[in-house]
Amino acid sequence: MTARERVIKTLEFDSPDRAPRDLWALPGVGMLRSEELEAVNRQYPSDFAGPGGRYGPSSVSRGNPAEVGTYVDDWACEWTVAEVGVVGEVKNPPLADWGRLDGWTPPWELLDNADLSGVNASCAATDKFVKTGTHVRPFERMQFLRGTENLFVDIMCQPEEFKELCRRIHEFNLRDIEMWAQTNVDAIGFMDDWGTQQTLLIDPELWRAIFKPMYKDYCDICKAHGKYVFFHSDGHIMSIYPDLIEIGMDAVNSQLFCMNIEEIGRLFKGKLTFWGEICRQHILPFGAVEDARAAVKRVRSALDDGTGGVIAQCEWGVRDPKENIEAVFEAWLEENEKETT
Amino acid sequence: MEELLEQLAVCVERGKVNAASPYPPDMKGEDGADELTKKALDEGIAPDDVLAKGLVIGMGRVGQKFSENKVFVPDLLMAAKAMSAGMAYLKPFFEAGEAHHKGVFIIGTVQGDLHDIGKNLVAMVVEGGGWKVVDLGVDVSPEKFVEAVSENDGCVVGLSALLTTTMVNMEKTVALIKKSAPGTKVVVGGAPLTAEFAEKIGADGYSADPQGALSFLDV
Ligand code: B12
Repeated sequence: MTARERVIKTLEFDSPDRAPRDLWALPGVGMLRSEELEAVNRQYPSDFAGPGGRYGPSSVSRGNPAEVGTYVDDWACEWTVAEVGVVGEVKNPPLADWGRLDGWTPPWELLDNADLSGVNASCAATDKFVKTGTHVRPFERMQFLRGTENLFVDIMCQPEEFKELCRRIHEFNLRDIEMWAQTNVDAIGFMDDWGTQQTLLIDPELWRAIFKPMYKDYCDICKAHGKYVFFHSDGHIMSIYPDLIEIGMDAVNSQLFCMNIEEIGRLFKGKLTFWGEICRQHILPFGAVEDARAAVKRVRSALDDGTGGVIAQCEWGVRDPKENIEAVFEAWLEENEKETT
Repeated sequence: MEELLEQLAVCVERGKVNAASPYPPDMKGEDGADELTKKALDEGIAPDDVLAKGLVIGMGRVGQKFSENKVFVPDLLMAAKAMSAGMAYLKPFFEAGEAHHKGVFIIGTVQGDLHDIGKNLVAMVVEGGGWKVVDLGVDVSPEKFVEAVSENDGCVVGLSALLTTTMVNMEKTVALIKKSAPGTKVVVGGAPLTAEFAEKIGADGYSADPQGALSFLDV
């Protein structure tokens, strides 16, 4: 079974030979612990690959997101970085003052000058499952442009300017997704961090009114072109799982361990693929190898009965011991062997 | 008087800042915390009563609902905005010693950590609970906390951390505060924290939400 077939069988609940692997690493791991990272990747190769294309060059970005100091991203948002390899936070958001909205446009140059000419060749050259990321993160992008507190007030008061900003960002996002949907990638991914540790950041009803329709449009484009949809959100997002399923998402990465995993399994198993994870807040950084293994077992028994629906994903934080990451993939292999024997 | 203060409490609870504010839609055009605080003071209600029986009550109600996950971050933020509108009128009374804070609360996000949504909410709710809040911002070094403690006799300190990598800086900060100003109470919070961790690093209190922080301070 090729890696691509494995991922597709997982997404289709069609009994893959094992859970496909996908290791994420925060930038600091690649910068400060590259040998360890390479070793784990060699031992447990990923079933996913990225495409060979690139967005158009930005005329505004400068600096390095992974180095202490400030850097400016492709949308002219200025980030403060406090620690090497740890993405920071936007200070002085460019649209904090609505006066600047007039004449403001999303960075169309990224799409206008994108070079996707090598994408199809890169898809053909690999037997891995090719998933592309995008610029699509409407809620977070608006946080970076407006400032988090301003945006929360916008969401409550919904002034015309906010609606206009939503429209412009959505228009950009639609074109971003459409652009990738024309290629041979297997899946398209987008994200937004929606959860706190206990609940959604905003009232789920407001989420449904403002953001769900945007995500639905993105899903619709992907589906119309036969692409799988991958979505990531940090935090506790239990209340919107049904909506994510309803609009057609295929795989969702969320912070399973701040929710009730067993309850999630009871309600949603078989309706969507769980794209990881293993607890990034307690187990991977502070737990013992046995804790990491037990966490895999827990995910396995709650969400995956061997027919698929779970991707063996975890995120490597800057100071997490390598042994814990290895234990995750090792335990997944053992779990899957149990199934086949 | 009672009715006016109750109206004021409702404005804070619902996040009604002033008459011009479109939020919440069902209170459009009505006076908000701004107008009602002014009115209460104009009518001669004691500033301490405006605070304790109006603003603090409203903030307490919404804070309670927030800890029960019945309202969300933006609701609490709107409430805090309404409260600030009222507080602006009380400021001169505090300065003149005619209104009184319960004490000083110093808060900040620890070194290396830039998350501030939670820290800001705690600051707002504690201020709304009648405390003077000194917000040191984010990425605050242990030394900066100690400096602020030395400038505010008898203060209580709140530390926030959202990253497992910065929880260690919290431990350092607690140790330095306890060393340089023994007896200073420290309360900690943030998504990855637990009561056990708080105890382990020698903090005096832990809370998963702003209302809990206020309860800790108020005893
Ligand atoms: C929003 C968010 C961000 C925003 C922050 C915006 C801002 N202005 O703060 C941005 C995008 C900037 C961000 C950046 C990063 N983030 Co972040 N972020 C989150 C997210 C989704 C929500 C946090 C939040 O605001 N919650 C809402 C508030 C209301 O809740 P709260 O902060 O927990 O506060 C409440 C309580 O904890 C308590 N409380 C808080 N402080 C205090 C203090 C006291 C004294 C008391 C009593 C109580 C208390 O009361 C508050 C109200 O109820 C969390 C997910 C999560 N599970 O929490 C990840 C999360 C915290 N982030 C994470 C990461 C990894 C990062 C980055 C490192 C990402 C990167 N790739 O670089 C950077 C780090 C930047 C830095 N150096 O700090 C991880 C941390 C994992 C770990 N191992 O620790 C999390 C858990 C997500 C995840 N699963 O990966 N993040």
